[in-house]
Amino acid sequence: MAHPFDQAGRLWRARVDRAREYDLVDESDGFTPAPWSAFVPRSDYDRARRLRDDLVAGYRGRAFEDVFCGREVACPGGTCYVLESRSAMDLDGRDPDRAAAAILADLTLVHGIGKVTERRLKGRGYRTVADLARHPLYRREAIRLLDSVAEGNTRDLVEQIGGRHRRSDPLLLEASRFHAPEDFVFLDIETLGLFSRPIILIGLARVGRGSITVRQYLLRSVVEEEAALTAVLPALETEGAALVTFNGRAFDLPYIRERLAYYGIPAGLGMPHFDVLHFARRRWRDSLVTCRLGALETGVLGVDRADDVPGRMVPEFYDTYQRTGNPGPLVPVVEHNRQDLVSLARLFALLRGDGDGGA
Amino acid sequence: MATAVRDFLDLLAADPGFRERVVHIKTIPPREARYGDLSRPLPEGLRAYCDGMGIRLYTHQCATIEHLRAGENVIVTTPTASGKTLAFLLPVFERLARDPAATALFLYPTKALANDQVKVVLELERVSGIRVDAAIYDGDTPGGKRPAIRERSRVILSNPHELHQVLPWHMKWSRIFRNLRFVVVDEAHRYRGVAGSHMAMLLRRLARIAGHYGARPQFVLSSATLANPGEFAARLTGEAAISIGEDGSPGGEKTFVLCNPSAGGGVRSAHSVTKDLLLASVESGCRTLCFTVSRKLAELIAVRSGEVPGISAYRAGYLPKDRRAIEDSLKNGSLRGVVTTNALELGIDVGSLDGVIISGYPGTMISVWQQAGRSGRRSGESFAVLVAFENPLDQYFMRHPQAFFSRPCEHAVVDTGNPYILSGHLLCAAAELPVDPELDGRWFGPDLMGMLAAFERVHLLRKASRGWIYTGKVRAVDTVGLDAVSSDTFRVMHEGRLLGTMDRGQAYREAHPGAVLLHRGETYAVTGMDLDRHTIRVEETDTDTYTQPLSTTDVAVVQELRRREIGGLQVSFGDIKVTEQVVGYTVRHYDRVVSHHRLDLPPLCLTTKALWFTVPDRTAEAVAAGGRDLAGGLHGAEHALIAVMPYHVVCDRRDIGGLSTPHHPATGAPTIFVYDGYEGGIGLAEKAFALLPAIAGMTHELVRDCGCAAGCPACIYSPKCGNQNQPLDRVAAVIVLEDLAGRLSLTGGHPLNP
Repeated sequence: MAHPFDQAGRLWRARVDRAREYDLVDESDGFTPAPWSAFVPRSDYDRARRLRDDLVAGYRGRAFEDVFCGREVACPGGTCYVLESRSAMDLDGRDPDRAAAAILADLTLVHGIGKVTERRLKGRGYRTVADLARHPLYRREAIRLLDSVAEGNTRDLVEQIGGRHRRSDPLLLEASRFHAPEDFVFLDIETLGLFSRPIILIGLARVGRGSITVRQYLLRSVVEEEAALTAVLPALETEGAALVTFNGRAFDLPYIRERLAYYGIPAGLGMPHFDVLHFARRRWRDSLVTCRLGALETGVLGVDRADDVPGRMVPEFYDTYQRTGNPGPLVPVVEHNRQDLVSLARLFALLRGDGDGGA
Repeated sequence: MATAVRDFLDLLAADPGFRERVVHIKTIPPREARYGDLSRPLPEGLRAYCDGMGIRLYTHQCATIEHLRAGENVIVTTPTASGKTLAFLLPVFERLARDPAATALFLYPTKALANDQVKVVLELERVSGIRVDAAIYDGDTPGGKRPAIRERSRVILSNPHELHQVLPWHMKWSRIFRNLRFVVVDEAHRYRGVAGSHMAMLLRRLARIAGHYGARPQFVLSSATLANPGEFAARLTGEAAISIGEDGSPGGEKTFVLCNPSAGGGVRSAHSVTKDLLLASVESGCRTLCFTVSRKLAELIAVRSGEVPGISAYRAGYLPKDRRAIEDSLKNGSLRGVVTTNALELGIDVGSLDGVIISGYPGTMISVWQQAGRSGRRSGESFAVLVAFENPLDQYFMRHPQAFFSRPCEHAVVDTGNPYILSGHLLCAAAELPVDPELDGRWFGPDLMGMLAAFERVHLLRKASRGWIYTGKVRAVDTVGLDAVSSDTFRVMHEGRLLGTMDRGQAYREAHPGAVLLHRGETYAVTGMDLDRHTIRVEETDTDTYTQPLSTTDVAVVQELRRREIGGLQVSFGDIKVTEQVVGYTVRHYDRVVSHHRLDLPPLCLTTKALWFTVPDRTAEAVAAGGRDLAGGLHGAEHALIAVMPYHVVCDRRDIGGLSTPHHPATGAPTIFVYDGYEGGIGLAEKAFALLPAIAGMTHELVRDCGCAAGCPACIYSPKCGNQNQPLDRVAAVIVLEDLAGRLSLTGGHPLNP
């Protein structure tokens, strides 16, 4: 029987199918896409489409749980499915003294002090912020900063440093040394597009005792989104946790906020946040054409990905799964996300100058 | 006392070229001001503002303030320049002064109008000292300024398109939504027909989000005069509203002239008479606005009026700064005449004007009075001239001036049940907050469950624990445009640069290979059309030929929903499918056909709502017995019906399509179809079905009383006929219409409601 709204439904379905949120470019045009532009090179696009079709053929008839070995977890918002994997990786331990020394040596962190004033003050014997606690004018501000340093309150310090300097200031990386490796939560999400649509995979990684553990909340259906959000929330809101992302300030975190608001879930999400994109740009802007994560992997970490899905095309891979139930197209999405997290952690270590570069 | 207006009117009476074309003059007497009192005084700052401006409140302003104070929704429909803006600004500011968290959202149909109105709002804020940080938030607001506006402003001026984009970001707007006390919809009469259906659903989405944050705003609608303000406001906002239409403001005497270029000696086109009137008015010293029915005509008349300095065109599509400069020049008097589309029908402040020339009936009496209302001041004379085109409706008014002046303003139709528009906004709503059928039934009506199920079948919605969530891979608000539900868009490219866009139907008809395309005063030839890539390539050309498409149209009845039989006449309403095929085009030089060409394009399909009626055998026999052509009679009757329909049903002639045939397979009889030109239908044919007795009566009189011999543009010729107005037979059309009107009048002229 024909339903009265089926025709309208088909119209909107056809519109959604036709729309794409990226443009294709032919590399022969000599065109270099900007880091966050909505372009996918045609060769990548063609390769990804072939990959998707191959996967659909190769995984026909296979069950989701059979392809992805994970476990079901129950959380306040329902049940969801989590995959876990581990590889070798290390970060330097906590070093609050080094962090404090670096921060306190920078008098310009105190409101009202610029480069010129700093030089003058240093000439007069105010060598660190601690000395400024005696200064009649800068006393109050200096004591506030000293308190933050004493508490190891990276949340306030990140705001203070990022606000006085740039979000890419290496001093921020020094501030991260107030944290033990176990404090860092590396976060990367995959979504059905740029905002106002479900997240389909939330990837979290933690480093500790010589290895990195990646935990991926992969949605068997978008219905599990609320469960996945409530599943990761405790990790993000833990006292002492620090967030590390790649472009998370502009993308991942606002996206998660939006989805939490969508479900009416209250959350603060006020943890300190280190966005590696900013540091990477500052460090490699002149040596690399773009500072996309993929380019950094190749150019800095020397990693080459096989059978990757371009980030922009993740939505259509998931949509294929959603409509056919065939888990094949999700295989490269999961690997893409896992690789992003591992590379993110390695870049973070490299930028901090940890050990042997986190290899 | 000799005034510029008097000089112009004397010239009309004296100049033979004008005199014999003036078919009617009506004098609208001056009105005295009626002032009102408030139950309690306004706050100090607002009183200071009024005193400083020398403002004493009129009755309708006081009524608006009192009803808004009482927490009611209000629609104000007093004429242009009667102080509607102040009527709602005062109570909004009063509330915002008392409640320091309260916010208000003002929606204007265009960015240009918001830019104009913000000046008044900021001035009120400054003088009253009531801090609201009023700001415009629209597509032109720089990204850097947006966060501060979201954090601080309490009065936000925006437009429906921006609101459509903003709603998914409600968490960033939570302060504003949580404290939302007023939603002001300015120029609300613009939201009728398809635009009205979209606005109605957008306002429901807004109210739903405000409700999520615990707010229930009052709605304030400011509108042109309408036949059904209360009903319209309720349809648009979903809530009952108090209607305030009694105007307390004073006005000077206005002379309204009907001018028919077809009357009198010599062949003169409406455009050329319009130009002469404009020049005469400006030369008499009158500051004049001239309204045209299209952008092309606005440009054309301004160019042809170039012999007198101080005349400019104005229309949408100009850069904002150029538009602003024209507005200012008109206000300060350095421009004396502006030829405009209905872009200046909106309440943009251009100072007071002496006269208005309306070139061609603008389609509705609402627009007639809006446009005519742009001239005139509190005291002193002003004039308005309506210049008739050669189409049936304009000519009808020229022959029946009393009917013209006694016409009530139209009913504003808003269909909140259109399945396409309704479901599209449901999709958007589901992307904003999960849809809970129990809570959200009040916004989306009784068909909500059916829509949710249909969307689940196409994998666009899924039921989750908190309700139905959107699962599409494209932003819902990008999928569902706020404009007409057109199926898809073609891009017009010139030397690799995007010139403009058009929908598929427009592209097939106006931009097929070989077509001559006009764009911003330039002429282009279409050199290529890529159907897969939705791209049209054009190159510049220098030609004064133009092209006209030839198409064939078929109609299939999908489902008959209602039927009335009156004495052998069968009138039906239902779902139809229209298939249009653009088969070729002609190249024309002025009105001469230069050549014919064939085209091979796929068909265009439209599933919509229609009314149709059959012609009884006896009538068909009467046509044949008189040696007349039945097909020509049906075709002529169809054209005339479509020409008259806009008066009874608020729509544009272009919103309606028609088809007539001596034999239709669905009815087995000669049949005339009249249908909505929008996918899914927008309630036009439905309304015409109910009002058919009145429509048929007027159409019959129109064709019967026309002075022509065998049909003319004033009766049965259509300016948009896909078949070059062939065949047409006026005598046969009169027989068909007489029979239809006669049989329908047996119902006592009452609407055909089921």
